[in-house]
Amino acid sequence: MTENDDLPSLEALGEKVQQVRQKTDKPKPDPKAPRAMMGQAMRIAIDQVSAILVGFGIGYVLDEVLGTRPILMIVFILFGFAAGIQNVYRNAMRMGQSADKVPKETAAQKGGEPNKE
Amino acid sequence: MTQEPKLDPLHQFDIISLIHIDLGGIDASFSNSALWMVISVAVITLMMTVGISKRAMVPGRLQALSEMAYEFIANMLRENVGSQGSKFFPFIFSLFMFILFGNLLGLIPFSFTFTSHIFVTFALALVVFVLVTFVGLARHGLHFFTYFFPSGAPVAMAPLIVPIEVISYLSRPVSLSIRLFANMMAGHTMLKVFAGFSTLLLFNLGIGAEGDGTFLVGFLAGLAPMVLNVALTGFEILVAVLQAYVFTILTCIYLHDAIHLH
Repeated sequence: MTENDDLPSLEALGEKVQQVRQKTDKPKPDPKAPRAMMGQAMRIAIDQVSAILVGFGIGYVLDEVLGTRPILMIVFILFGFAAGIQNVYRNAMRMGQSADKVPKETAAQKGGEPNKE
Repeated sequence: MTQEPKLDPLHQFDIISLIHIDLGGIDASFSNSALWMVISVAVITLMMTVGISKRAMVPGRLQALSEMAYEFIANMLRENVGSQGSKFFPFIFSLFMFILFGNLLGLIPFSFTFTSHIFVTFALALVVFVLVTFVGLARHGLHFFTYFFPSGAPVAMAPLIVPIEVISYLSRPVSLSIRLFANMMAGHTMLKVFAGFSTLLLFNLGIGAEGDGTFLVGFLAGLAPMVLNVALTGFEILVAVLQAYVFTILTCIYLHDAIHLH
């Protein structure tokens, strides 16, 4: 008697566990998201600034060596600005990639297919 | 009467030499910064060796912590560098643990945060930069320099593209070091500023003020910044872990670039 009662309840339990899992899994990324975005924004800003700094440094040193102050400094600051933009662009592309990658990987895991590159 | 407290949030970054060492005119003193580096290395070594000494099937707390750290870095390398990344595991793991413990131990009151100095973070970033460049050169030889000129671009554009790519490449250690140093320095300054508010309010409205019964006012006023400081400390722990993670994952991405070129 007790065994017959237990058998169907196991399946019901499985369903319940899955329901609870779905509920608990969903709100997980929410609290982290804004802070991660802040971090990414900071990263972009620093990437931009550091490239300009490096451009300025190279131009300054070259000017000292060649005695052509301020021409190369100005040119290399502009190069630095362009390099900074490129850094930012690459980072943004990488962020987009990783955002796309995540659902693919989880989908592959659910399907049980080994995802080899 | 007690002395009036002063607000000096940058005092915590002072480097104090503990043992004077002079190497032919070069000041190589053992400073408080060096002391905390030694402490963090000791703590890491202790944690890892004691943690895995039992080799229990069901890990205890310390073993679980060591294993989690190991798997975290191993996964990061596998995902970001690929199968060839496992060679660099010891380096990446040491780097991550050193920065992480430098950041976290720095949050203990009266300790010193060596990652809040740009010289320390720049030295770390420079090690990464030199390693990545050597890996690229060793793997690809002179072909490595094609990294600075993407294939398919018109040759006439070379005078524009090459300097931009070189600057972009050289800016990596700068942005790596500034990011870590700025985050740690800003966070610790903020903590000390609010802690300073507490003592100032307590003194000026409470102990130091004229008349009786004002102590309670000062105490309550001084409590407000302290409550904020508790929240900030929690936030700083998050920043400490996050910045160690960011430094390490960017190192992994640079390694990937050096190994695979584009």
